[in-house]
Amino acid sequence: MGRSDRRFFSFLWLPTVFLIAALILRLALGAAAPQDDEKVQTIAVWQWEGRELSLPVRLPCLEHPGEVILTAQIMPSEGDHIYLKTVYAPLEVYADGELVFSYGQPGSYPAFLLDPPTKVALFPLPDTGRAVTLTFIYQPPTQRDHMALHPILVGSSSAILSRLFSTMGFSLLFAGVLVTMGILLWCASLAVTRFEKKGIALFWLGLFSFCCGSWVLGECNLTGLFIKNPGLLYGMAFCGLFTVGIPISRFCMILFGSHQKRLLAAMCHILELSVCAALILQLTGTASLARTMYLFHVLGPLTFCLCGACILQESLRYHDPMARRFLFPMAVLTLFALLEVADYYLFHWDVQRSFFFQLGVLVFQLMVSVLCGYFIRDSLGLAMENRQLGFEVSLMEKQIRAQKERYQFLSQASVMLRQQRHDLKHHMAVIRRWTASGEREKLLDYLDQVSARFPEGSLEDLCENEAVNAVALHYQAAAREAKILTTIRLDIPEDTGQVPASDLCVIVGNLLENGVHACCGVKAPFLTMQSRLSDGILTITMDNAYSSVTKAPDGTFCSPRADGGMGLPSIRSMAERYGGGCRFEDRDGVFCSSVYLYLFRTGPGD
Amino acid sequence: MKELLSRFPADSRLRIALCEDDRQEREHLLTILRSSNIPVQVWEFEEGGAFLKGYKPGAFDLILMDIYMNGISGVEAMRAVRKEEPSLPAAFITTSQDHALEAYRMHVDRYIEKPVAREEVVQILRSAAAKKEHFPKIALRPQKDPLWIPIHKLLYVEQLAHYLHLHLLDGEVVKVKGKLDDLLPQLEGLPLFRCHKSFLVNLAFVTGIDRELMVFHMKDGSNVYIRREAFPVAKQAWETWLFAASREEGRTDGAI
Repeated sequence: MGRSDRRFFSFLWLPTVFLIAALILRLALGAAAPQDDEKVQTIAVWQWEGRELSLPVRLPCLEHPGEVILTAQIMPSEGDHIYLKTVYAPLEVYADGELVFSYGQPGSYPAFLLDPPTKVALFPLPDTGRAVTLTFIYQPPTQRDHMALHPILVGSSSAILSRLFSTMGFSLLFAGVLVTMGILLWCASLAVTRFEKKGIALFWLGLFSFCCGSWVLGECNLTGLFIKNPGLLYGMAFCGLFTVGIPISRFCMILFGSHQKRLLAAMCHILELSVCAALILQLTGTASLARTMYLFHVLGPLTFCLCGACILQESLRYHDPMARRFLFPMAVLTLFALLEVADYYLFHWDVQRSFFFQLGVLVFQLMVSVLCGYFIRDSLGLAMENRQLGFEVSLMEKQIRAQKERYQFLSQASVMLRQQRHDLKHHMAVIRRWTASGEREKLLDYLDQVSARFPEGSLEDLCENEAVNAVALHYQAAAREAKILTTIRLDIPEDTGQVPASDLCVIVGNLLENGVHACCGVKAPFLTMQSRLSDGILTITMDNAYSSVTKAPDGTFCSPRADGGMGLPSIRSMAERYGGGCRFEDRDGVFCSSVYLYLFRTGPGD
Repeated sequence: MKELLSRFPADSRLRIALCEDDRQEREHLLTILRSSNIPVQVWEFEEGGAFLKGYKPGAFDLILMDIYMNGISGVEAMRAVRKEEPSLPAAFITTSQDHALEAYRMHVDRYIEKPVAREEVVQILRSAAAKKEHFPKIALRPQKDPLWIPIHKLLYVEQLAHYLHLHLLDGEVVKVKGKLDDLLPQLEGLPLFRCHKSFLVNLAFVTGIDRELMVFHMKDGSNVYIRREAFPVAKQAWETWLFAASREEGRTDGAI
């Protein structure tokens, strides 16, 4: 098992703990709810067509147009409110024959919606001080073959709200978290795509989170009390639910689509087409979203299953480590989505709608976000490495250029040497002549002339090591061109022991690059670099003027370079690789860089 | 104790090794050396091999070395000296600047060009004499007649019962009655670091630090213990010394 895998499994406890906590919380809240019963009454028994009826109930096969009239006797106290929820059914409420609430009458909502969207309401009862007969007149929805009647609560508004919060607060919070997460992931994707193309996966993950959040937000009864726009919530709930499979399949396509791209793409297109069709049907007033929803109850979980299967195949057959990591969260998501559908159609457990799916999504999102964090970090590291490699290549180019110059110098020198040998014979002849004739004055004169013309100059060397010398020379030229008072003197031998010269070039190159850059815009720029080699330890120090240095949160320095200070970390890692270390400090306005490493002995801790 | 004193002789004359194959040039240099008002004692060598035969660490206070000689060259000979005495005053005498870089690599203080100018030689004599007089040292038994220990010869000090064991660079161990605590006031500005209750280490001779064993590895292969809690501070102190030494290197550029 790789290190990254162990790292991955080590955080498996996180969602597990979360799941247990959520279940305990849910149970605790469920247990706490009856305490409010004294303050909040559920009107459980109603009269319907001379029969007793207890809510909640589903009344099947109702005819249109028709009415369902429910009556009940209650004994309201002062300030009592009624909380009700009507699902796609227009409703009028009468208290002792007086209209106290009306919703969903034709003309009060856009006609293409066909049925009025689900509405929750909390309104006061008239304070009569005696028993009141409540009459609820529902008109069955046209788009469903049944009508769902939800429990009606009576009590003070604060008691009703606290009851609702205890049962649905989790959903509301969850929806908030999901929407926030979605937005954060979008921001992250914007940043990541700049250096990693696959970062777009984060966008889809964010969209998934946003869709789920929108669905839960639209579905949650509490939202309906605060956002008094049932149409908006209706749209949010269904659009969220319908589209939830699209981002997840796109996400899988990007990360794991190397072998099953077509299948995933097909699924994605089916979903997209279905969503379009559903919207067209709704907008033309042919069929409501509530009716087309059943299709998505199949398509959604199917998409999850498909994505799960793809990830499973990638991880088992193609041994993709990334897929192996995503397997567990995807399995959790699929399982909970199936559980949710099963609950909706088969079990009708006493839990808030979409509770299971919410749990699944939360676990999935948590784990996947952590995974994405690792993914981003890894790709950041990779991008850094690439930049580092680019820098090393540029250093090599500098070395090659210096070698070419050296070669040119040598070939010129050999031509010159031939010339000088020829000249020497001539000089000897002249000296001999003047000496023989004893003309001392002329001889001295001639010697002076020759001395003045004595060829000077050799290639400047800053360091015995050819490769490092080339790099140092390049930066020295650059520094002098920038009018920086530069002194570079290095003591680095040709034999650099365990450290390849290229690594030393990286250190020296990075230091000088930083130094020259830091001197820009300084009044009296200077740069000195020196080194010391003793007992196999090579120490390189550089002091330079600087204009600004930013300190990273961990107290280390960031160089103010455009690439965000990649130099210092790479110097550090290079030094530590060879048992050494480095230090960067600001001493009275001088930036002091110090590095040491072992050339001829493995460092401690190796 | 006598032996210790003999190894750090009280003779104030500057002991100079002069290594030059050209007889005339040698005579010229000798004249300059003897005519300065600094008392000197000169050993002459005609080539690098002969010099290395006569060389022993601590035998000279200054080395004047020609670069081009028959047999072992001045650069080679200097390399051998530097292995033993990294900070011994030394100068190259030569005709061209071609070896300036090597001179720097070998921490040679000066680079004297032929024909040799008197002023330059006198200058180097002065600085060598000053170094001989004022080498960093610590005093043992400060109350009674002090015994001076040059820092550049001291590896580390270990406290064993009532005695201080001074481990010197050449492998010798000197035993003196005393306590490490008594030395502490003198440590200001010296590369000495108290890394353990019973150890005082000369950072200049540390060749590595070991986190596993909690020791400093010393130049002579011995180990000096570091108190566990002091490890980060010890490491930092050593690194600080290394970095300062490198910067010092840049400053002692002499006449190059």
